[in-house]
Amino acid sequence: MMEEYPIELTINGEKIVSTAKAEESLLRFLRRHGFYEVKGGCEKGDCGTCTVIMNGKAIKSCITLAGQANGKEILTVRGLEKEESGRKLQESFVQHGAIQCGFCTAGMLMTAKAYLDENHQPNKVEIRKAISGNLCRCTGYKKIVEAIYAVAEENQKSK
Amino acid sequence: MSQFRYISPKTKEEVLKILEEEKSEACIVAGGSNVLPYIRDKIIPPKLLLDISGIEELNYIKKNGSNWRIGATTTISDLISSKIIREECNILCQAAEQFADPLVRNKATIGGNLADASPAADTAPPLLALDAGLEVESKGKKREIFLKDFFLGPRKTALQDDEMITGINFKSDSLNKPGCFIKLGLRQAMAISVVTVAMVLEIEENRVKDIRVAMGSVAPIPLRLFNAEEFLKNKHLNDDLIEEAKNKVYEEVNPISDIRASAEYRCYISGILFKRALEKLTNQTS
Amino acid sequence: MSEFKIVGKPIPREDARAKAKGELKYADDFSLPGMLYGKVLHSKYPAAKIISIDTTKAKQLPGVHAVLTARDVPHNETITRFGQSAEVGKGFEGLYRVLADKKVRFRGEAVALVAADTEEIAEEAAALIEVNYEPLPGVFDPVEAMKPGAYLVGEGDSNIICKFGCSQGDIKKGFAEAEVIIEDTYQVPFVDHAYLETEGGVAWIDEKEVINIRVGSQVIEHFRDVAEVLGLPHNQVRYIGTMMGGGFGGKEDITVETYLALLTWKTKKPVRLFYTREESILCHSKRHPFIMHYKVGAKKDGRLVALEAELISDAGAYPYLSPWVNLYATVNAAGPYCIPNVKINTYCVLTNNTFTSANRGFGAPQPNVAYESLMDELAYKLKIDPLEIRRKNCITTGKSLSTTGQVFNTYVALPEVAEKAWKALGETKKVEDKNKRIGRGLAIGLMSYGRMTFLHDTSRCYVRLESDGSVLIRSGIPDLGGGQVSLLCQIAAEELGVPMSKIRIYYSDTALTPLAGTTTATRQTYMSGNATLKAAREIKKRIIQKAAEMMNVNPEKLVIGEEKIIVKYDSAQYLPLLEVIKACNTEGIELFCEAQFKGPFTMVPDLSNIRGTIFPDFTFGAQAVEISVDIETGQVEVLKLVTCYDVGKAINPLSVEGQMEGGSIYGMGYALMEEVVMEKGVTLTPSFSEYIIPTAADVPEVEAILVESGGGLGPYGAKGIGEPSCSIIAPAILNAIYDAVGVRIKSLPATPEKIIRALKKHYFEGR
Repeated sequence: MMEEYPIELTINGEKIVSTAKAEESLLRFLRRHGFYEVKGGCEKGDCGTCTVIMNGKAIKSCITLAGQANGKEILTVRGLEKEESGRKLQESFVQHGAIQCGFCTAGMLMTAKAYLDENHQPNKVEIRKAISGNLCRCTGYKKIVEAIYAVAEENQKSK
Repeated sequence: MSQFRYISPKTKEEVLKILEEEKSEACIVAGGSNVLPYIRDKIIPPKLLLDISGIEELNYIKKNGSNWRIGATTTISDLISSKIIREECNILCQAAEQFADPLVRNKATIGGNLADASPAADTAPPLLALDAGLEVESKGKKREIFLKDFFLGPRKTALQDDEMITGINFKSDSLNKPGCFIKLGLRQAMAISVVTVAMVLEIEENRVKDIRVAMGSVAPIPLRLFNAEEFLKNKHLNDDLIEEAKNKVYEEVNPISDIRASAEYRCYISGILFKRALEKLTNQTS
Repeated sequence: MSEFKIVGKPIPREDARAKAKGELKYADDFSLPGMLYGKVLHSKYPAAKIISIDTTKAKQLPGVHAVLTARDVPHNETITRFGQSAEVGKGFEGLYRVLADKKVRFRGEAVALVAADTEEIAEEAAALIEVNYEPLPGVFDPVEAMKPGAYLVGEGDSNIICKFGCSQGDIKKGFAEAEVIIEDTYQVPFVDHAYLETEGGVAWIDEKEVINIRVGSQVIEHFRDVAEVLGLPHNQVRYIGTMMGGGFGGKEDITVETYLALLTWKTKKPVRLFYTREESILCHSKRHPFIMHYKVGAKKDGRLVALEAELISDAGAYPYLSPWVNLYATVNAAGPYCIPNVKINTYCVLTNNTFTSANRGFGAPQPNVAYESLMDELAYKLKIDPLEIRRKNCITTGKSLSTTGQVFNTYVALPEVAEKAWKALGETKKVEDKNKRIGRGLAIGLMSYGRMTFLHDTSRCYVRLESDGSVLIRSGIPDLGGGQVSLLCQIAAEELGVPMSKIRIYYSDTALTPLAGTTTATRQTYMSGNATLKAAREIKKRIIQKAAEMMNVNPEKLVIGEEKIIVKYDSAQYLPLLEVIKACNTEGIELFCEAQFKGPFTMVPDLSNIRGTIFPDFTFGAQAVEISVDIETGQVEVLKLVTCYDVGKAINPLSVEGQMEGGSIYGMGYALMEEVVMEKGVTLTPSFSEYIIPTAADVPEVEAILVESGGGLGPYGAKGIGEPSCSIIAPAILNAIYDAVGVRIKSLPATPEKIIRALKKHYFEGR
């Protein structure tokens, strides 16, 4: 029972051993440790900009206690490059014009990655539902949905 | 200045022990989707954050004969991906699929949603309609609280300071297949409900043999509509009867006005959703 | 058009890759050693006298470095500007007050500032500041606030901060000629920009004693305003603008920059200050609510003969850009229609609500709701097709704007875009649900791009061709996410015949990049695009001149492309760009240029009757929707949305479509769900769970149709699209609701409840 407690987790394949404050969110913990690519937009779970993948599942890091990531594997947008499926999504977002201000992008990509890992043949309506926890104010979502759909299609073809 | 503390026990027993020692000084954190915003808004003062998300023994979905048991830290996503829930307890699946958004569903737990005791909690109406009970434990003591007796007011429950919800149980009976959950929100995801309805129904020769119905966001607590149920029992369903039943609903609900809707609109919608649930279930069973 | 290599192509934006990789450093992704954390103490009353402020306890808290109140601010009261260089007179000057002094005007107004070692200490210190308030009644309704004897929000003798008018013809005569007259009142609410990145930044003092402010701002020219608050020479304050996580007009006014500058100036340490989402919703500007009373008269064949409108808008507690926004509203008030007799009066009034200022569309979306609803009403009344009535009345090439009389000499695409948008809806969707009704709506509109011509707008850009053939651009252009920076790269790449990968750009720095003016008013493609074009073409001219000498051909015969200087129609004859660069460098021919582009200049108009040229040019568009309305719940689902604009020339079609699609959904939120609810000055929607914007699950199929007339004033004939794209979708949706269920919603947002209350009057009357 401590105000600060030890924490050990893997972020983008790298082991981090540190301490966290009791009420510290995973978002704040990540940013305090230099993972600035994880953005905060509301800190209440209402926008999804802070989305990371924790043990394979996309979650909102602002409503996750740092301690809840103890012993877990975290993937942020900067770790996406290490995996082919991640790189494909990044490039598809770039090519489709799915990125405007880019503030939602880091979270949106993580949601898309976790979703496509589990769903191989989604249609566009399903993709819209899948990313409905990630707000975007710039694009109207169309090009984001197209970018994700293109990767899903490509994955199907290469199978 | 007092500070938050944090602990993440690995077993239920540890949790109960800490609760016994800390009582109201402890705040259980499961998914975190409510607690963290409350901390930011200073609704929760500095306390011991008792993280139960890592307690594996509380994460389960079990069916034994007609007895269902769901562990308190089962996430909303777990409900959606459970084949048995989808096939045999679809009403819970419907509610889970309309719960917040896919990311929150990955963390939010069924126990946390109930313990938060929001009148808008999306899992409460279906569980009320399933006539669920809560398994509540404190150090060395177990008791069961019917969900209908659990909610005392907005964010007030029958839980004692040293108690926690460990599981939810209900029985499969002739009513709960497939069941119907309808949510009206102001957008298609990340919506706090304006009104929700959950209904299970058994029809025999176009007669309501049995019915259970509950609603969210229409009263200070998630509400079982006993009067409307009683009114419908053993009656032949027709349009006039449904209109009469709607009036029973209007009498039973007691909504507030807030930024999402006025009390009058909520009241009106409770009648509409009630009717729709009835129609949907009668169409399915007939 | 095939001569273009890079312009007109849907290519990835310059900034896209860094954003996709999470490498781009936004305002908050930056820290300095020894950095302090700033916090603002906001007023808890919307209207109150400040009797006293005691900062003793806050200052005594360990870890606190500064606690500042109004008396610590060298020049606490200055004038609201937004980067203009021309003198525009008193009619547009509003008070900019840094910290509340003696009186607070809105809940959320900054009362004091704190800097401390940690965010937590800063927050605790702010809570320890004892402010003794005496609550005052305040006034929250602009109509009430206009009345004689109303509570005075400010120190002046009236709450009305501006009154504009414009007219043409004879309004009495017009209505006398009318065979049908429709009169109605429309209301639109406060809305938030809801960008995902809140306001904030980091400031520090460098070894030259310059205050550096690294911040997301649409107007880096505010460095002058910050300098004036501190009483420093302009060159002692520097803005380093970051890529913004959205702006939409909300980062057009000063937000936190003055606070940052004051705190760093007092503590001599770097300071970070970022708003929480709640602070952002509470205290940055909102879109103006308007109450709009309209009366239109037409002949039985649908021809408009008269339009009279009175617009009253709520400025909130301080003027900020209200006069300008209201000028836009006034000019837009008669819409894109030829009406011989017009009379518009616009009033903007102070209240004790959160202040209002720029929001994408800048005064255009509000009157658009009113006049396009009325056009629809007229069409139904006269049994004329919605497209037909618009075709019959809309401005065409050579005609003039009915408010100001500004003549359109270039192509006016209104008939074309209206028809294209309406037809693209295609076949009506079939809906199985017995409770759902399908409806369609159309709206057309125009909106200016580029600043008001009496502001005397300019932009500058520096381009340099390096000795290895790479290109360096420096431009003060802020990028709020629309692709402003990338656009300049594309223009330089096209003109200098190099690929995008060879361009590097430095942007948005008031000390090091030539000032390009504000990223507002949909002006950057037009203004900074032209400045870049001018600089790049100057260098190109020198390169071609030199190459012509080297090849011994007439320079007019040469073109540049693919890093070569090529003889036209004979691609075998060429010189590599590198060789020509070498020759230029050897001879000292300058391969750099800083160019300035100047918009047209006019005089400040007569504000009681605004006539003549006010804007350089306009963008014309149409939006059409198909929706379903649930007649039992009032829920609206937008099934299909078509947006069609004459963009002149789409320099990057991906970016233009992005604006059109995103603008449509921004407008859809306005139509259906967005409202900052204020009750007696208290914001009831302080977070994103109450202030809701569309999610991906709410959006329809969107089709963007680009018309490229080439008739714009921007580079290659481009027009601006950022703001026009969102300005008419709301009335299109309202018109579709009417078409579906026969009720006319006259106040936004069109919530399910409003629709049901209109549909089920009987049910609700007894309750």
